[in-house]
Amino acid sequence: MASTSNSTSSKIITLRSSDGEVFEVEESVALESNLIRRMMEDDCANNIIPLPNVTAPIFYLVIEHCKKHAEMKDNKEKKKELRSQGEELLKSDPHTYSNLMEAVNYLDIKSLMDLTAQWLADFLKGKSPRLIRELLKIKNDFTPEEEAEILERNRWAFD
Amino acid sequence: MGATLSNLTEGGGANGTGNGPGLGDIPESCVACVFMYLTPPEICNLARLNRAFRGAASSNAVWDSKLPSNYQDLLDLLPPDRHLNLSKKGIFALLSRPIPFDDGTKLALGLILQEVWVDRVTSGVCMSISAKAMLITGIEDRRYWSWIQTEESSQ
Repeated sequence: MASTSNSTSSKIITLRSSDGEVFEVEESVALESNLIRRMMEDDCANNIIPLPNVTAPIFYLVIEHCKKHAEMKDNKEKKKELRSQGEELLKSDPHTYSNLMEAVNYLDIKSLMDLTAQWLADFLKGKSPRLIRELLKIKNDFTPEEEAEILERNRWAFD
Repeated sequence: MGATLSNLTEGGGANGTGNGPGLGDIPESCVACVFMYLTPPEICNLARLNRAFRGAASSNAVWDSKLPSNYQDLLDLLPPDRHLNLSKKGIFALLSRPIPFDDGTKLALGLILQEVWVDRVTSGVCMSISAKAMLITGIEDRRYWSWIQTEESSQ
């Protein structure tokens, strides 16, 4: 494991994803997650921490983002790089992007939640629902009546 | 930690293309976070995407963040029965339309001299005050002041 953190906090935390894969993560990275922080404060600091709602591939993504986010502080180039990778993921695989956001939300990692939410918000800006459904493969789960009602209820915002 | 973001993206891309699942199953709570970065008209537009987006577009937490901090003062200008049972979104919609306010006497005569409302995009509080509603020292002194009708005059 490459060490990017300061030398004083090299403690390793062991976590297990929902599909049984075991991860060893530096404490400084793991503590970005408020969920893990709370679990460690409770009691399981010396045991393997289970993450029943996160699969291994998604957890890889989360860790990757956490590390990059730690590196990007005060570094505009890294910030841009992380952003374009996030946008690329959203466009090429919106399903994984949605899983990433769900995991970040579950793990309660505020910095990453803000970033992934902002990237998605910027992508959605100025696009019609029809185009967004097509680009992000979102199924329209409304009946025509429901859709008409939503339009009617939100008319005030466009007058 | 061998996997990098890019090779995971390629792997995931295979099931993302074609008819694989997309962003549709994103949880409502995540959509609510996204809405923190969008304006009310954008949120209302996105409510049509699917049920998760519609749910988040009605969430009190989202609209609480869009209302100006002094929105209660604006509500106090309205009769309570117009806003008592409204959601936060309903309150925003109500306040986005101009609310006439006055000491009561002029409104009773049908003259709207002052209005206040919340801007739909910026959430800023806006106010329109007619020149006739202003207290100006010496306004009655014809030597210095006179009223000129223009095409835009309301009365």
